[in-house]
Amino acid sequence: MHGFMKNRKIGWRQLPANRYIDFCVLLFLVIFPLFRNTYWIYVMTGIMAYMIFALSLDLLWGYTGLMSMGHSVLFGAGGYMIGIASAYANQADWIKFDELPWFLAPLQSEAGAFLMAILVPALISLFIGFFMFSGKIKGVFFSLITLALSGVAELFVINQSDYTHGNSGITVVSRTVLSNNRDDTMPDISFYFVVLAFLAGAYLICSLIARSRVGKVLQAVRENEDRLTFFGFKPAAFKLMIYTISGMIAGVAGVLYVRSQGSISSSSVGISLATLVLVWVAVGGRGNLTGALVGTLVLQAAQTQLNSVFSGISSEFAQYWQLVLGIIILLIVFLIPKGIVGTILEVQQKNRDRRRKERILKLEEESHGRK
Amino acid sequence: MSASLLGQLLVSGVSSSFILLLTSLGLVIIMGYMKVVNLAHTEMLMVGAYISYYFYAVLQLPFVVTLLLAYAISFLFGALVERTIICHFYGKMAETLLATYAISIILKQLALILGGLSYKQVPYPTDAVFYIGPVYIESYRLILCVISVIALVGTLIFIHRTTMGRKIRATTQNRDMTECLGIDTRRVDTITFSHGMGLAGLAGAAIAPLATVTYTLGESWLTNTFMNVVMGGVSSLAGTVASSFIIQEAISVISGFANSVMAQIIVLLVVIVIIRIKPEGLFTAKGRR
Amino acid sequence: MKKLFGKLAAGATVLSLAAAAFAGCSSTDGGGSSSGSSGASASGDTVKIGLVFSLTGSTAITEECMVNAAELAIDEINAAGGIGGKQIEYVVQDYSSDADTAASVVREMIMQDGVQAIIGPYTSAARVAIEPVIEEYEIPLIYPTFYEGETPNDYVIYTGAVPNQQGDYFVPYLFENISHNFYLIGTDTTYASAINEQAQALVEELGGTVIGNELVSSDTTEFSDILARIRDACGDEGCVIYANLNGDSGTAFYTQFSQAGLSDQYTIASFIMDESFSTALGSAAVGTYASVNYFNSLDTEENQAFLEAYGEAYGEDKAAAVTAVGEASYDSVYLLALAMEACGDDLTTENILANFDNLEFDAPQGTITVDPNTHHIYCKARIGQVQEDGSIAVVWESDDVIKPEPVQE
Repeated sequence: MHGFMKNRKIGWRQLPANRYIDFCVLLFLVIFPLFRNTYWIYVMTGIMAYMIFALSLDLLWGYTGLMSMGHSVLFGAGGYMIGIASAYANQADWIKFDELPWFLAPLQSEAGAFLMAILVPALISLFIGFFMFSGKIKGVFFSLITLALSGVAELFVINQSDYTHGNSGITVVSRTVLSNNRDDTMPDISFYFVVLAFLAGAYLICSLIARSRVGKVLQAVRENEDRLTFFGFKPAAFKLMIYTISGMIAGVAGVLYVRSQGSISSSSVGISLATLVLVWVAVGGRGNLTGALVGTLVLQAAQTQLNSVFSGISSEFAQYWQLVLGIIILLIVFLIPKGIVGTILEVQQKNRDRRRKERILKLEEESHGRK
Repeated sequence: MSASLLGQLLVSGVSSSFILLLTSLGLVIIMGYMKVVNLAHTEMLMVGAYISYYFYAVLQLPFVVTLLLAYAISFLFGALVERTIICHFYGKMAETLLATYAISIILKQLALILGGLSYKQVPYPTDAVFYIGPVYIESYRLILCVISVIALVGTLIFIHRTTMGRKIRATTQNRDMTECLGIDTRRVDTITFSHGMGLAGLAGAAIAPLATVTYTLGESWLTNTFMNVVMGGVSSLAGTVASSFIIQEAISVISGFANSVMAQIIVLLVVIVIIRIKPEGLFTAKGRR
Repeated sequence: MKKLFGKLAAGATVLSLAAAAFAGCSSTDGGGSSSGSSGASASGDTVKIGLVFSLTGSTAITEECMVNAAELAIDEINAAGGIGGKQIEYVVQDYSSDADTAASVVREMIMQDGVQAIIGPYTSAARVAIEPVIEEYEIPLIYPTFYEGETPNDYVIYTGAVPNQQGDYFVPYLFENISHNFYLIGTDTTYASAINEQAQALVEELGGTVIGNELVSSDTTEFSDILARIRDACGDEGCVIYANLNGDSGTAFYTQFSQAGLSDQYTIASFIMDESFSTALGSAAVGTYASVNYFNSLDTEENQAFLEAYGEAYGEDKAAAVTAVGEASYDSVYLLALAMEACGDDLTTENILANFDNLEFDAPQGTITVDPNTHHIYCKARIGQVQEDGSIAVVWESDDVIKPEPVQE
């Protein structure tokens, strides 16, 4: 394969289709603010934060085959660190303590809060991963445990109301990266590009990991873990590593989302968000990063758009949208189980194979003809 | 803690355990014998509760008939779902999860749209309260225990003592070989799945009087039933029976000195640790591959 | 030609993707990017307000009545000539019991639809999520739910009762008329834990005994061990079960409590008991106590007219389940209309908020007045008992309206 590639110049035609789509998505996001008003810029900022979240899940699920049904726990953990830091810095009136306890002490500084928002999800995933990724445990256990985790995590956040303000949620100083000072709030458009930069960075990191040797090992974990063990690899270590990295990225996504929304509540760690992100990745197509981007963008933008169109017509629209979403998922699973991007890649690959076959046949014919 | 309270807590703990067992039975059958994670399980509980409301509370059919109807309707619905959707995705965990999740959303929204926004109440079939010394138990709780035992024993007999059950076990152990023997494994799959869904509907109908029936009923059972099945070892009926009791009693005891939320968290953490030590689940017989 | 298929498919996806997001570019840019002062988008002969309530999600059952009552009030005002001749236009947005969604749809209402005021939501989480948005765009919010009390937000008008208009009278009433023993139980939420803490302090001050105090998670529907503990702790003496449990958990508690035969000995009292519960629960709720500033059964002229209109619009059975939050939503619309009318042509947020000071309205619950300092309402405290037919009869009410004290010292 490598030899074959070296002999030919890699033209733009040889690039997989998802590279074009990546480029189009990037272009779309860059020029988007030119066409839409502040409201849509705000919506798209939230969607981009969700896209980072979806990327982190794709790294875990698409590449490694670990279907986390509680990824929102990591997203929410990141968000809540910022929430608590922001509430403490501004001395929200529900806070009853004067000093943060030792395990939250780093939240006093702004950089510390950001660091905690990455470290806490990483620690959670390390803990779960350490117990889940021993050789014998099947993939389904991981899905079920993470599902139970997100269910319990939502209750936990509500329970710890001294720090999380229970089910009332926390108001956060929005549209800053680090600061918890209201005066540092950026205009919507500036924050939009900050999040876009984070998205581009997250995408680059994910695709670097995916293309590296580590990425290849991870895909091998997905395809055949036993065989990998025979080759002397320790799949558990790789799984643990990728889960931790994925957790950190999810934490960053949580930070950006909370900063763009201006508040966080217990639903951000719960089952509904955890399943929603699975749906985005599945609809877009998993295992190629582009799918995570496209799925999130299409579904979230469509929901917002349809909602604003229909809310003027009938207030019952909301009840039907969920129903439609259920039917869409069923259709996707049936018609294009590989997701939108996955299917496009498959079609491209088939065409390429057929063209190669045709070429070979032609060559053979020609050589026969010469004889 | 007085002796009477201890006795009372024990009795109520046991009855709660039976309820948890009843509500997770359908899930463990589908997961254990078919390796399908049925996310629509708790929404089937909700559907069962709605059946209970419409047939028992509105149409005034006898409660036993309502229970049988709940099982039958859910069984047929299960068969329909299996034939049209689930059968295409065997062996593909992600696809089945998404498909069953989609079914769960659809069921819930249909209940919201068709059933309307109100609390619906199913009256208790029996009102009496029994006293054994200082310890009391409501008659309906006893009935729930009996229903739960019947469902469990019925399922065990079905699996272990009937030809169909033998086919189910054979298919679980070695599908190809079973097919070679001329057994229609597709039919076996349909029946297993439908039975699991039927049990969920039955459980939903049975627990309906304990609270009001709303379209959100399924949500409150999600965490507990799934945690129960995971701790029981996913595929073992005996494990699920044992873990129903352990989880329920542990939550009762721990919530005595912490609170019920911390109790749930502690139980989950213990489950995570136990799975590391005994990946096959706590109570699975040795020697299974 | 088939060679092109792969690329065509890729192109088509990107196009459809772009289309999905761009589609509304032309259609819904009405309100435009106008931010800051809302007055800018006020058009000549209409005023626009937004309603944000859950039509789906776990609190939709409670909020249905709020949307209905608010829409009813708007229709009535429009039929009577509108606000100073201007008709009210409104948009309803669903936040499906989710705080993030609430923040997002409120932004949409402000920035796309150009609403000048917002009424809603029900949950505290959604209110907290909405606050930064309304502060940023300086749009008034009228919050029609009784809650645990907090430092008032400058842009929020609170039209529900606060604890000093509920619990401060409820607990002493129960203490004198039912029992000196209290067993406190609540859903693990900010609201219920604050309410139960306040009750604990009150009971101790009165010289009563708090026998138990527990919080359970919101998905609890199994109460057998808690019932066992109640029976053990209270024994043969009477006891007030002060149970502030949400939704499905609450109905489960009432039915299991009465099934266990505890209702003969002990009495449940709760803030969450309202007409939507009492009409659904049947015999399980009969005889239990509730406390809020409005009950469906109130015998005032305004209330009769309100319920009649409500019944005509949504059905008699729905009218029987109108709750305090529903009535508060109805009042909110009227108060807002009065405040806007007083502005005349100078319809700025500042003016609207200022006009709420000392605003009076003859609501179904009686005359309510907005306190200029806290922007909460003066209202009567009432205690009700559930009757056989599912209605809640008033058994006690304060002689006069009570000053709201949202911040407890």
